[in-house]
Amino acid sequence: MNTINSKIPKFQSSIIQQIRGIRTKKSRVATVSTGTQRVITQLSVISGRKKYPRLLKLSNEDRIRHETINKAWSLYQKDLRNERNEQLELQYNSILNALNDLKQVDIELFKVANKKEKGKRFPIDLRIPVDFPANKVWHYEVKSNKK
Amino acid sequence: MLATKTFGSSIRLFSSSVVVSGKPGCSIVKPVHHRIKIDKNKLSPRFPELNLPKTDIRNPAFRPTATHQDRVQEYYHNSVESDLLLINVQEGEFTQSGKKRREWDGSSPYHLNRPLRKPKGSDTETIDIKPHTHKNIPQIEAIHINCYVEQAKDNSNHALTSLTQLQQITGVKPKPIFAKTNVIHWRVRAGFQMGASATLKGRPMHQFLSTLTEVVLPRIREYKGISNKSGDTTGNIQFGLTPDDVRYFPEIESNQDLWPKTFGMHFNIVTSAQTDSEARTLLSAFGLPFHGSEKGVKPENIEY
Repeated sequence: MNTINSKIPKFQSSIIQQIRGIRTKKSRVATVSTGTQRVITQLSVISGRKKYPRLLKLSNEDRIRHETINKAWSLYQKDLRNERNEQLELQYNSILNALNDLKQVDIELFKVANKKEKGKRFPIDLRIPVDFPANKVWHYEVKSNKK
Repeated sequence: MLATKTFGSSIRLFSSSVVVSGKPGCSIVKPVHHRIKIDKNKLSPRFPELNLPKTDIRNPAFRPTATHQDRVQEYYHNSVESDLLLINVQEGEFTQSGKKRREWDGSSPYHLNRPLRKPKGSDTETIDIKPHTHKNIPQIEAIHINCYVEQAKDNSNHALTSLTQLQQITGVKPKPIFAKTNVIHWRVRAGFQMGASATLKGRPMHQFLSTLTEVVLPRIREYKGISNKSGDTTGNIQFGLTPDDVRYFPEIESNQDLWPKTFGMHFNIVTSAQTDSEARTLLSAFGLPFHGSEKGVKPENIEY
């Protein structure tokens, strides 16, 4: 901190900065206790004033630009969705085809393949992908203390 | 004809107490009489922007949603969805009817107009289980968080703090919850503000879920996981966090001086799965651990 302060020119401290809506002077009223101040801070955090950001002022051109981009984005999303659904339908049909084939080839294998997989779990070391994954994703050598 | 004579001469009144209070008995904003409920604020010409949909940027309530990549959603579509289809689909499935309310046999004249009998072996109706196809692959729909603070009965500041805590953790606006009835031996009166609740959907839900599974749950000491017995039979899974567990949320941990007191909470993860077992399979893909014995699964077959 000291190093940073030393770099700031001294004349800056003499400039009166105008801060709107913020009390820069300490009030003459007795200061509240830290507990009360905490509640006041919390109230200001959840107040209705914070609910919506300030309304953007857009010209007509800006608005048309915004709407065009939005429309393009939603169309792109729709294409992705349709593609995904088609792929899933293909997969579904091929699962049923494979099961039907298996039924004719070997009924015992079909029964095993067609069993309800209750209690099925994805592996616990499966991770939701990130842009920069850790060098070591899972510590396999760690064992639980209980035996 | 007689009836019209008697009522025709007098002015029709809507209710006697309204007349006493000196107020008009019906709405005075036009249209006055209508069958469809009309939000009359919208009829005013004063603020035309408010009548636009909230997705329109001219509406003051507009909030941009797709501001960043949603990696949890992408992960679901890229990896989980097709796996779940393969796990759930069976050949030769048909709709299994749930337990429904039954007709009375009509042996007694009192059966007429009597409410239907309870379902066999159950107090409530259960849902039909439909065949699993590519159209009903389970996914997480919402997370309901409920934070009931017992101490709020003595000090309402605690309810306020729990509200702020929930807002800090989730990033959505929570709603206060109020005691519904008087409970004398809890010293709770109806109308007391007793905590906060929030419903997460979409992007905030995914953000919260990844924080929970990547930051909070791995750091809880001796955490076993969500109980395999949890669930409401229709594919929704419930669990809870203690006040100490909540401290591991980065928003609270980075600002410990502000949080001398934290509050535990209950979670209800709403999924579109038809049974709890399918819902657990779905949730395990997002890194939520499970423990304990599961109904209908042999102990040697339980996967963790």
